[in-house]
Amino acid sequence: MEMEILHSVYGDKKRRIDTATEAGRQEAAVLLNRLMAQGAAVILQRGKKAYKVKGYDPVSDLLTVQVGPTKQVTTSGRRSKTTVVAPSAGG
Amino acid sequence: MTTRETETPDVETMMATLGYSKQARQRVREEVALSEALREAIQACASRMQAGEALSWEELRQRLTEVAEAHGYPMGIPMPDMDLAEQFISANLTPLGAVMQHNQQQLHTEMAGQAEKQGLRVRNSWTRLGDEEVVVVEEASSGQSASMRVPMAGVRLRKLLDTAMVRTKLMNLTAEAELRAMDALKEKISAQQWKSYVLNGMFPESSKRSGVFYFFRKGFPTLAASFSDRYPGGHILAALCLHPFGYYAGTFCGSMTPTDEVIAHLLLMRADEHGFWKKSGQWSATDGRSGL
Repeated sequence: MEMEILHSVYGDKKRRIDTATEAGRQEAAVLLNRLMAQGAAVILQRGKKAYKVKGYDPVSDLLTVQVGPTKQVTTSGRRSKTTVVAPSAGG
Repeated sequence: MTTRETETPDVETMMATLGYSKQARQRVREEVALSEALREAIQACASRMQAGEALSWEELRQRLTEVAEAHGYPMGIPMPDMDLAEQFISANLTPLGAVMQHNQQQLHTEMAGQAEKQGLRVRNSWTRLGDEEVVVVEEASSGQSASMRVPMAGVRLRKLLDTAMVRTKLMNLTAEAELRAMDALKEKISAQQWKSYVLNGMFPESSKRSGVFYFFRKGFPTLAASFSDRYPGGHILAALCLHPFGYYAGTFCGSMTPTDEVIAHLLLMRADEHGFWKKSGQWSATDGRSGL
C-alpha cells in the first residue's frame, strides 16, 4: 500500500507499506486507524476517480471504500494508492 | 519528567471532575505528552542557539516533525507564527487545538465577526446591493442599536493584502514546498486542467454525481457553479472555503501551501462531495470571503 501524506511543506512523505507480510498489514491497520481517529480523510485513487476509505481489515488485506451514498466495496490493500488529507476547517 | 509527574494528577482530576469519556481522557494525555515533548525540543534548540550555534528554520521544523511523528501524529502539527497578529484557527481534532482555537463562528458577515471581537453585541448583519455590508450592533448598557455600513471594496483589498503578507511572512510556506505541491497536483489532473492552472491559477472540474462545476483556485475558495437549463450562462452556488489543519483569521491563508489546499479540495470533492460541502465555509459570491 502506498500512502501519500499531503503536506508538501514537509517534503516527500510517501510511505510504502508491504501488506504482503503480517507485520506490514498490522502497521497499515494501526496507521490508518490512527489517522482516521485524528480526523484525517484517507482517499483512495483509481486514475481520476477517488473514494473515501472507511476501514481496513489486516486479516484479509482489504480496504473498504465508499462508492455511493449507501454502497461500500472492498479492494485490495496491496495495490492501493491513498492520499491522506489532514482534518480540515471551513474558513 | 518531574514536571509531567506533578502536572498529570491535576489534569486527571480535572478530567474526572468534568466527566471526560475514556477516549477523551486518552486524547488529552497524548496531547499533554506531545506538548511537553515539543517544549523540551524547542528549549533544546534555544539552548543550542544561545551557545552560538546557527539553527535554520528548516532544522527546527524537522525537529518538531520528528517529535510529532514519535507521538503518533504522522501528518505533523501546525505551528502558528508567533509574530503574526492574525489568529490561527485550527480544524477540529488537530493536536494542541486548545491553545489555538477550534472552529469558527459562522456569522452572517465577516464584519459582524470583527465587531464582536471589539466587544460589540451584533444583532444582525447582511450584504446589500452596492457592494456593502450592514452590521446592526447593540450598545451594552443602554440597549440602543446602531447600524454600520461598510463598503466592501476596501475590505476586499485589505483581505488580499493581509493574505499576501501572512503567506510571505510564514516561515514554513516556502516556494520549494509550493513547487512540490504543484508536481503532486499535476499527477492528479488532466493536461488541459494543468495548463489552465499554470496559466490562470484555476481549473474547472465537474462532478458526475451532482452536475455541479467546480473551479479550483490557487489561494482562494473553490467556486461551485451550476450551468443548468435555468442558468445556461452559469450561476455561482457558493464559494467553498476549506483549509487542512487550519487558517489565519481574516485572510485566505491556510497552514499549508496554496496548491496543497487545492489538492485537498479536489480529492475531497471527488471522494466525498457531500462531506466537502459540509466541512467548508459556504459563502455567497457577494461575500468578501468568497475571494471574488
